[in-house]
Amino acid sequence: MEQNNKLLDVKNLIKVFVIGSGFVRSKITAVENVSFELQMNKPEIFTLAGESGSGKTTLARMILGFIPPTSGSISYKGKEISKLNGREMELWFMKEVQPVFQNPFETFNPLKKVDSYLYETAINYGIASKKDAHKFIDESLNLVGLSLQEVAGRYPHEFSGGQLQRISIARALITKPSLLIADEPVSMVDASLKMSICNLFKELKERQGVSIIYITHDLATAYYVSDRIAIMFRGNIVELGPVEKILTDPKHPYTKVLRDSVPEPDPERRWQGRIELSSFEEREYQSKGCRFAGRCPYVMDICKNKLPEDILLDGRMVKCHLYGSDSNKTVS
Amino acid sequence: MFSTIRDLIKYDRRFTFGFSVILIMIFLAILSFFSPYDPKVWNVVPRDTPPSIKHLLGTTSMGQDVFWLATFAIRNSFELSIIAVLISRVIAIFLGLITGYKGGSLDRTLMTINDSFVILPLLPILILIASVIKGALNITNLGILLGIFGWAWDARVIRSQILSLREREFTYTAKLSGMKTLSIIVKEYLPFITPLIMATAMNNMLWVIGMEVTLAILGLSSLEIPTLGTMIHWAVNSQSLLLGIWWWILTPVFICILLFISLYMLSVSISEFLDPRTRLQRIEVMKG
Amino acid sequence: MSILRAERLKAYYISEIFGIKRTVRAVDEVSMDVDNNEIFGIAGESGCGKSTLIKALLGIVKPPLTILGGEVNYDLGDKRFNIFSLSQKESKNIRWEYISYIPQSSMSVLNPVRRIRDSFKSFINAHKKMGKSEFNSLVEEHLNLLGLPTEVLNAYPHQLSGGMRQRVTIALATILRPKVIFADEPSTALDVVVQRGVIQLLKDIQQEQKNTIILVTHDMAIHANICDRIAIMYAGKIIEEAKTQEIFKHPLHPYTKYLIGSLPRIGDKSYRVSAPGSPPPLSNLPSGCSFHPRCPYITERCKSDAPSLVEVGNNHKVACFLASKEG
Repeated sequence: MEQNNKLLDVKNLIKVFVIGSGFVRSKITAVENVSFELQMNKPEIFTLAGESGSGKTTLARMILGFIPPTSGSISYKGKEISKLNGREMELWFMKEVQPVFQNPFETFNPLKKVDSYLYETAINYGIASKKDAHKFIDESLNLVGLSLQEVAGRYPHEFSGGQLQRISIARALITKPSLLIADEPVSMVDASLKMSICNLFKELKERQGVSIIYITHDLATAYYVSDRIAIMFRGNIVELGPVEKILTDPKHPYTKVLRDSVPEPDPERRWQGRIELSSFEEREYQSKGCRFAGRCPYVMDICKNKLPEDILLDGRMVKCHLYGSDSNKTVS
Repeated sequence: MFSTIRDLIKYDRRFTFGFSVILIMIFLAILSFFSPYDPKVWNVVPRDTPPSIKHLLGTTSMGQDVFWLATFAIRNSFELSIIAVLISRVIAIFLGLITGYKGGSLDRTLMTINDSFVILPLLPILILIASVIKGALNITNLGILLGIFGWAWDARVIRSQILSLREREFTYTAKLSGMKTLSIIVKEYLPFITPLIMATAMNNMLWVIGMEVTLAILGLSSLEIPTLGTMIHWAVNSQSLLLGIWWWILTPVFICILLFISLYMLSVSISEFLDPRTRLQRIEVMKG
Repeated sequence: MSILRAERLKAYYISEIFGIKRTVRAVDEVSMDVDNNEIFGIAGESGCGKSTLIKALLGIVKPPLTILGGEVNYDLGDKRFNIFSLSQKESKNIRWEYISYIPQSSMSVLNPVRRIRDSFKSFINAHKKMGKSEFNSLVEEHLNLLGLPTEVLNAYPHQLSGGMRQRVTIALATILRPKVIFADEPSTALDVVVQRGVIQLLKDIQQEQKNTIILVTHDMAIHANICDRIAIMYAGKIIEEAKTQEIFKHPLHPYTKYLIGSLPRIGDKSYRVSAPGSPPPLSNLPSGCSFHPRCPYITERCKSDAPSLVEVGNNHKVACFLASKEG
C-alpha cells in the first residue's frame, strides 16, 4: 500500500488558535495548510526553519500529538496520529517518535538524579527488566558518547548544557525510535559543544537510521546538519527542498532576507547593504494574500489578494507569485 | 534524615532553638506519665502555695501542683495537635494533588467546596459546635473536629504548586518516559512539595493549639482535662492574677508562647533548608 | 587613547550556606585596555565569567560578588576615576551620560507602566534639565538618526515587538552620547532578521558618535561582523586578545582554534570538530591552565602553572605556554 511507504505524511495541516472568550475573540492561524512527507527506509534530517511566530513549534507539537490539529492529517507509518486508540497505540507511538527539547536544564527535574529518567524509559516501555536495564541504558549513552558510569547517581546541575542535552538524546534513543523531533536542540548549548551535538545527529541518521526533524532559527547549523529544509513564515511553508539549493540559491524573497541576515563568522564577509525593519508587524496576520506581502521588496498587486500556490521550480517547492503562471513581472 | 537535623542544628540557630525547646517539651510530656498526682483530682496538695522545692511551680487554688499539671497540659496539647494535623494534612495533600494535576471539572467542583471551607468563619462555627457538644469534646474528638476544618487553605497552596510544576518541561520528560500520573506526582512532585507540607504542618499545629486555648478560655471544651487552654481558663476564672497567684497563670501562658515561637522557628528553618533552590546549592558544593 | 583600563581585576562570588563555603572565581586577574572610538568584543561561552566582568567594569558589585583586587580606571576626557572609588551619587551621575548599559532584556530598562516618552524624560532629566521643546527636538532627532519612527514615543513597551523594544533601549542608552556603551548579549533573544537590524544600529551609532562600544556575546559571527578587536574569555580569564581579522585568521590559543574551527558556515558542509569535554565550573577550576584537561597540546607545565596573557607581536596577546613560545 502506498501509505506504508511514508514514515511521516503531513497533509494540509491547519491549526487555528482562538484567543479570548465571549465577545472579544480573535483567531490566530498558527499553521496554515502545511504539507510535507518523510520517506520510510530513507533516513534524513529535515529542518523546519523559521523565526518566532512562524508556527514551527506548533507544527512540532502537533506531530508529537501534544495538540490536535484544527484540520488536515498527520500519518505516521500509515496511522493517523490524532486517531490513535487506547494506551497500547499511544505507547507504540511514543516509542516510535521521541522529542528532544530546547532547554537541557529544564528537561530534567533538578531534584532528581538524571539516570532515573533513563531507567523509567527503559522499564515503562518494556525494553528491559529492572535487572538488565542498565545494559540498555549504557548502550544508549554510548551512542551519544557517554557512559552509565559517568552519569549514574548524579544530579542535573553537575553536568554542562551539552552533556545534559546528550543525556536527553540518549533517553530518547532508548526506545529505538524511528523519528526524533528536535526543537532548537543546540540553541542553549555552548558554542564549543554545539557542533558535537550536530555531529551526533548526523551519526544517528547514518548509523542508526533515525530520521530527525530539526527545528531551528539558526540557518548555519541547519545547513551543516540537514538534508532538506522547509522555510516557514507565519504558518506557511514558503520554500522546501534540498538544503544546499535553498540556502545557497534561495528563490523566495523571505528566504533571501533570512539568508542575508545570517552573520558570517568571517570578518572579510560582513553584511552588505542595509536592512529596514518594519515597525509594527501585526498587520501581517490579517492579510488575505501572501503573508510576506507587507515586507516583500518584490511585492505585486496579486500578492496582496491571493495566496500563492506551491510551485515546483528548480528541484524545490516555492510559494511565491513571482514564479507563478499568473505573474506578469519578470524576475531580475 | 539525621544528617539533615545535624546540619540544621549546627548552622541555623533558629532551628537549634526551636528544636531544643520542642525536645524539652516532649521530655516534659513524657514526664507526665510519672506524675505522682492525678490531674483530674482536686485538693491533693495545699492551695495557693508559691513555687518551692516541693512544688516546683507552686500550686493552684484548686489544690493541684502546677508543674505536674503543666506536664499533662503539654502532653494533651501535643496529642491534640498531632491528631488534628494528621487529619488535615492528609485531606489537604490529597485534594491539592488531585485538583492540581487533573484540572477540569473535577478541579472546579472540588475547589468550590474547598473555597466554601476557606471562607467559613471558623471561630464562630467552632464555638457553636463546641457549645452544643461540650460534654463530648475530649482530646480525640476535638482533634478530629479541628482536623476537619483545618485543611482548606493549605489544599489551595499545594494545588497551585502542583499547577506550576505541571507546566514545567520535566513533566513532559516524565510522561515521555512512560510514567503514569500517580508515579509522576509521587516521584517528581513530592520533593518539591515536602517543604511546603512541613511548613504548613507547623503552622497548622500552631493554629490548633491556639484554637484549643481560645475554646478553653471561653469555657467550651472539656474543662476537667488539663490542657494549656483549660489551665488558663481556670486560672483566669479564679482571679489568680488579682489574688497574686502569678505562677498559676504565667506557667501555661509562658509555655504557649515558647511553643509558638519554637514551632514557628522550626517551620521557617526547615522550609528554608528544604527549599529546592538552596538545596541545590548545597548538593552542588558538597559534591564539587 | 585608552578610555578604559582594567588591571588584574579579581572578582569572586563568595558565599557560605550551612557552613559550606563556596568560591566562584568568575573574574580571575583580568587585565584589558579599551581604546576610544572602537568596538571591543568580549567573547565567551556561558559560565566563563563575562557577565560578571561587565558588572565589575560597571562597578555594580553586590554581595556575594566581592572585588578581591585590581582596578578599573576610566579616562573620559574631563573625568578620570577608578570606578570602585566613586560614591553612590557620583555613580548615578556617570550612568547614562558617560557610561551606558544595554542589557539582554529590554524590559530591565523600560518601565512597563509608562510610555516610552516618559522613560526618555526620566533618563534625561536625571542628568540635564531641559525645557519641553528642547527635549522633544533632542529625542526626535535622535530617533530619526537611528531610523526609528517617532510614534514609538507614545507607545507602552508591551505594544512594541521585542526587536523594536531593544532598539528603543539602545536609543535610550545613547541619547546622552555616552563615551562608553556596554552591550550584554543585545541581540541574543531576537530573531535573525531583527538581530541584523539591532547590530546594524549599534554600528551606526558608534560611527556617528565616535564612542566606544564593549560588546559581550557568545556569538562569534556577530563579533566578526562589527568588532574591531576581540578578547576571548575562558574560565574567568582572558586567554586571547587581538584584532578581529587576527583572531579569525590566526587563532593561537588551542581553545580559540577549536572555537573558530567549529563555526558552521552556509556553503561549507565539511566536518566540524568540537572541543572535547566541557568548560569547567567556576567554583572548581582545574590546576594550572584551566583549559589543560581539554587541550591536545598539553605539556607537564600546563598542569601546574597558569600562563599569563603575553603579547606575541602585532598587538596579539595570548595566554598559553605553547603559543607564546612561537610568537
